Amino acid sequence: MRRSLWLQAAAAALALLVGLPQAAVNARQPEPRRIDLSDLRLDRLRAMAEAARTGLDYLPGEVLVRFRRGVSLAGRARALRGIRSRPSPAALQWMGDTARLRDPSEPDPTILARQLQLQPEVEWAEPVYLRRRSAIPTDPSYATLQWNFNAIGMPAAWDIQPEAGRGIVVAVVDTGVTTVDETLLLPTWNGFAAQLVPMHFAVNPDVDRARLLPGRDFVFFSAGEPVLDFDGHGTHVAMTIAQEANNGLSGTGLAYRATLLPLKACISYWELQIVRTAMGIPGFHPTDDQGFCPSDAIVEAIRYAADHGAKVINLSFGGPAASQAERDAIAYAISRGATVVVAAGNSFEDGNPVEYPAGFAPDFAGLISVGAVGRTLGRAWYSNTGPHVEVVAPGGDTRAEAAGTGRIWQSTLAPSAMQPGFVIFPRFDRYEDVGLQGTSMATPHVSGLAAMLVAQGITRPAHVELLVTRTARDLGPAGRDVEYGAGLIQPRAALFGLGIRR
Amino acid sequence: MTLTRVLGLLLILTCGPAAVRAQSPDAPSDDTAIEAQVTTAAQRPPQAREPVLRAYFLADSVWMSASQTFDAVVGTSRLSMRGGGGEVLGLWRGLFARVAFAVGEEEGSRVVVFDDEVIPLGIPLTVQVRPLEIGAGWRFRPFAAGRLTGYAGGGVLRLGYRERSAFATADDDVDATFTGGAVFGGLEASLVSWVIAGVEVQHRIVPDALGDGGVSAVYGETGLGGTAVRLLIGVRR
Repeated sequence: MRRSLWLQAAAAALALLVGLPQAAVNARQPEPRRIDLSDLRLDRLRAMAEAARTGLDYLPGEVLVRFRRGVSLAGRARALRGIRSRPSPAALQWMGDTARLRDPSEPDPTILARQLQLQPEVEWAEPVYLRRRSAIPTDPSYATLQWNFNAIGMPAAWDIQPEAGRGIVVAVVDTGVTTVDETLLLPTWNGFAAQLVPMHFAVNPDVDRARLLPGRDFVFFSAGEPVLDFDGHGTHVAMTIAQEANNGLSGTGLAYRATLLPLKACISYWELQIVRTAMGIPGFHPTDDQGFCPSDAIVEAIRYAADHGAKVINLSFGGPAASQAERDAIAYAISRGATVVVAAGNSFEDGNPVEYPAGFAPDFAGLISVGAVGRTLGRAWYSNTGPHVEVVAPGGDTRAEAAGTGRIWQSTLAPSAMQPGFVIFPRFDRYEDVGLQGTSMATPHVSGLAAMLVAQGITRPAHVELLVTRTARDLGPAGRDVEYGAGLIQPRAALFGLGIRR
Repeated sequence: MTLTRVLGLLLILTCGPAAVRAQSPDAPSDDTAIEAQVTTAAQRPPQAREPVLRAYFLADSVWMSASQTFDAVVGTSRLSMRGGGGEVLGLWRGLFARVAFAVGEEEGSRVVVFDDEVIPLGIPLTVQVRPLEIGAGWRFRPFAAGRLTGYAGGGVLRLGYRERSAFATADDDVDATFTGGAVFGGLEASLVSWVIAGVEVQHRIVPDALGDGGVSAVYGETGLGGTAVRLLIGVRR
């Protein structure tokens, strides 16, 4: 413990030294905006912090509920009277036809859901599940070797569509993509005490701001804005889809003219650290907790995307429990013309459970579940298998490669400026190429391809899925299989279509 | 060989023997021969005529048997072709032989096909079909005062097929030749003594030319044949 304190003090001193040159930069920046706790979704964040602390896979005291069609207000009230705390219908927070119900008196949401499900007016009720992001962080490094795009023949696909994905809105439901340049005063632990720290945020310079919509925050700021990425996962995923091309900076994205709609439905270490400090809990949040994505926020984000013009929705996360609310939201998005692309999961060596929402993929034409391959085009060691895996895309595989060469490199938040455990006072305005691996990284390849297909005139989600799978290059055993699905995506073949004889 | 060259060759073939004959003191003059044909056609059976060469220009409208495929890619299953040909009549009684060549080209777009829905991708595609026809047939007894003659026959088709797409690699484009057959029947009229016009119907079969890939595989259409209606205008000596 004493050793840990010394380490933290040393880290704080180092952070101060590192921070000196930054101070000069900050002098030119506007005054930091102090964030009041009322600006945050504090009650929910508190529940998330509690879930993180206790290792739960769901939020305590919250359920999602859907009433049967045609049930009146009185019917809903009757159903709510059937549970122990008898909440009023006014307590329901609506997200389309699904409602969120908080009942602090019953922390176990499985009991709450069971009580609700016994009511004849209720179609279904379920806990708010916490989805884990499907990426495995690896060491940061600068690189421009984006082998992944050559592996799927992107240069030839870009020949066909040089304005790749232009005008197509791709929603990235994730940890966010920072959409403003701003400095916020936020509380965190400095190793000895809580401290209000200016935290700098900036838009990634490698994305044209005209292609970055303001987006929406469903987990952190109660006003729903601004969207800020405290983690880098969401930015990495978004950059695989639409990082700027031909601007002399860093690498490129796949559909580099697509428009990004960042929807923050996941929180990560730093948000949890801030909430923890704001709640008066001393110390650091455990660095092995990557954070999570509550299913109610996911549902809200998917519906928001569908209602705000997104033609592709990227979901780079998953969890073992099937959520009816997510299923309904996905069905809604598909019915509104959005193709939904989801990570198959990274749990192959953890029992290879079916992860959701990927597990819904066989039930929907327009929901594409994506596994990962490494540079040798073999299945990545972590990539889940099963009949729900529909295609594979490059996700990186550091076990099959020399260090650093087998990851997916994109511009995202510089770990040297914000990596938990190394930095005490983080800043989120530094970007660099970072290599990650995971089905999280494979998924945006398919989302980018889907955007390009929509730009080419393939507008129905079912058609997008059919074309992506039909043109995939068969890998593994002949025909469709549980490791690779239909095979490795082939953007050029999908975009090139068919002639008379070939 | 280009269409112009083929037509030029056919004209030379048609006119060449006449020039040779004109230099022979023993041969009757061509004018006399034509006049004799016209004036006595009604009375004499066609097999009595001497071999006659003629050349013609033709315009084909071909309803392709791979109709769904062509409809999807070039927007129509009817290809228009232009070309020319030559015939030797009266080889033995009503027997005649022919060689004809035509070229048809259509532009379209590469597509994707979902069940009954075809979505063009905006990638230009040009398809060219070049049938070379070598055949023989029988000309029936003229009627209508010798001005109309029916005929029927069949032959071999060598069909050149070319498909070019923007952004294509060498593996994507097609340049191939297929062999098939055709049967035909028609009616021709003498407009003036040396000009004929005719209409002909052909049925062409070119099996196993399609169906390995592309839209033709989606629809399971394998033939490059079809039914053609041909209009022709020719000159004869």
